[in-house]
Amino acid sequence: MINKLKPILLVEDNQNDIELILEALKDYNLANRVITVNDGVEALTYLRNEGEYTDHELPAVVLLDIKMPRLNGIETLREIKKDKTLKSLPVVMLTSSREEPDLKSCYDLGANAYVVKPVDFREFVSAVKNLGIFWAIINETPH
Amino acid sequence: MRNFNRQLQHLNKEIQKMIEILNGRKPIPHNDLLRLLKEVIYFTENQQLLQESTYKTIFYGIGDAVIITNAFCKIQMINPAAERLSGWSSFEANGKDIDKVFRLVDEKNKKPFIYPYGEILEKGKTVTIERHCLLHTREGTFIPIKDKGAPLYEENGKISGMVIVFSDFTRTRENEQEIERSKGYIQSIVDTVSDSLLILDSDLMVLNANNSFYNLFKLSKNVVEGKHIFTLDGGRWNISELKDLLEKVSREDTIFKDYEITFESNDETSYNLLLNARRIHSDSNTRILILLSIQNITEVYLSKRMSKILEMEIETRTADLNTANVDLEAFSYFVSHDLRAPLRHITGYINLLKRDFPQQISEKSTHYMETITESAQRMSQLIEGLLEYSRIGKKSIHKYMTSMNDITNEIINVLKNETKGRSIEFKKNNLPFVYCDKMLMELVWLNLLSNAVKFTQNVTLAKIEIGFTENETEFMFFISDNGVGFEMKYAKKLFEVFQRLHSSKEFHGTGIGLAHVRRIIRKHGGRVWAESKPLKGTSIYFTIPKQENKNDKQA
Repeated sequence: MINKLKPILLVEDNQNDIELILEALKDYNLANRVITVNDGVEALTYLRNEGEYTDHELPAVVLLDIKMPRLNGIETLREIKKDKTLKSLPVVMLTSSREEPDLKSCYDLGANAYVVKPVDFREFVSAVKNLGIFWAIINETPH
Repeated sequence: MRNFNRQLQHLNKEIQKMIEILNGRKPIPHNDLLRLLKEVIYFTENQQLLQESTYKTIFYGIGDAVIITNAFCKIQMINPAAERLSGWSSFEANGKDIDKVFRLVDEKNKKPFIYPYGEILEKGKTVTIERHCLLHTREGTFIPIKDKGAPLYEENGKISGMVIVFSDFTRTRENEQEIERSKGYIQSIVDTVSDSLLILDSDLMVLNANNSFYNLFKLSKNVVEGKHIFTLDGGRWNISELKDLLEKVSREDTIFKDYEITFESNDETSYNLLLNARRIHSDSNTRILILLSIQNITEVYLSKRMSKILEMEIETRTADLNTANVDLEAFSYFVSHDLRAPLRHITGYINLLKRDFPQQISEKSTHYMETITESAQRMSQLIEGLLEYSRIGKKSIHKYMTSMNDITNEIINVLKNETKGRSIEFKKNNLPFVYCDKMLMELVWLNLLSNAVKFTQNVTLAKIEIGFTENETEFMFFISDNGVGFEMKYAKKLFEVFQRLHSSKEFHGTGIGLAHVRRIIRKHGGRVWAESKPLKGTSIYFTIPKQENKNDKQA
């Protein structure tokens, strides 16, 4: 069962945010493996399996920060939605504010949901639920 | 006898010429006519040899009036033209004194004018009255005439009488008067037009200038008329291009149009002048005249330049404004992303500390950590408020007829739920429909009502009243409370961003609510102000202009 779980791809450049997000997910005993990359270029490299990833696997969901160096979240989203093999991947945008001016363009580009940072697990789960992919995210019972 | 025959032959030739002239309706030169008549009469009276028909043709057919008298001024003969003009028939006139029939009056004062018969009969002179006189006809009318009088001689050289030839001058006079009137008319136009005009001869000497010219350049007639244009005003008009143009006009009958010059006048005023010149025809058609019109376009020029400057200014301002807007957006973006991240991290790590080391943290440390968290959250709120303020600024407003009752009722209900432990008395009059942006107006009332609730929190029984008055052009709404109030000297500060009149410890809030309110009311074209007394309460007033558009939808 665990082996069949797809990973979560976290695309985030800020180390503090990464740590806090991972802690938040850990708090709720998330069973999925979380793969972290630091910007859009790395994300696309991973998704297209162009890097040296030994255990490459397409993720169950992509958590995509908007403001990043090199290729930002919106540009990355555009690339994902243009790519035949990637365009069906669920993408959840990580935003700093609900009033994010970029949110509209994210939806226009085909983002599936957004979560306001700091990532609250419940919020994240409800966003994922709405995507209809809750089955892919497993909350392990604590030991 | 041979001599006589030669004379007769000559006379016949002259008469023939006369007849040709008559048939051709050419004007007969007076002198020729007189000479001829004299000769005719000479032959008539003394030789009796003139053919009757020829004589009659001239005397009766001629268009000019002819009267012949004897040496005693008694009329001997009067021709049909003279009959017509004077009103006297030949039958009546014959034998009468000439001044009974050929009555003249002075044109101006209508007094009888005595014809200088003596000059003719005694001195043998040919006379013409230079000044205009009128023939006083038998019917009592006055006809302007032109005249000539000459003596008639006997063979022995003795003056036997005189001949007066005269003609109706009315048409010519009328034409002359018409010309005079036209001249006056033209002169008045020349003097009245605002453009300055100079009339030059072909040597570019100034013949005439109009009042506008004298006024504009502050010159007098005596230093302009008769002077060469290039010597005027100390040679200020000696402009080489103008010289070329004027000489071309004088030489080739061309015109030049809208030639623009900058002219420095003698009082150091700088003018922008538009020059036009063309040839005009003088009275005799032989003289070349040049009309030079000078239009003062200094003001036009200045206002054109001014509007160009203004246009550029507006462009710059617009560009600045656009830059400012772009900057503001970039700033908002920066604020919402980068300023929030550290706050988020502060809160996040404090939470991790609390989670991971619950045993190691003392009570005091817990308090510190809570304060850190609260500060971070408060900073977050401030940022949110600032962003919202800038969003309102950018937002375009969508106005519909909106029920102020619905808005306020809804908000009051929410606030009542939130303040269940307190005693608050809301008093609300019936409010009108107002042409406004509903969402923004909700924000206004939410801010005002929340403030009223907030600042009455220390009062046992809070009283909050809202209502309105109106005049022809606007509604004025008010909200009064009996809360903590403030000193009026701070009233202006109240509506500025992040201005607080009370510490945030006493009353929570970011200090941006009333800044929002003012921004929204101003966007609607209204005003907002406050009246207050410490510990007595506060009243906030705002106006919204009325909109008479009945086609608007209700929201």
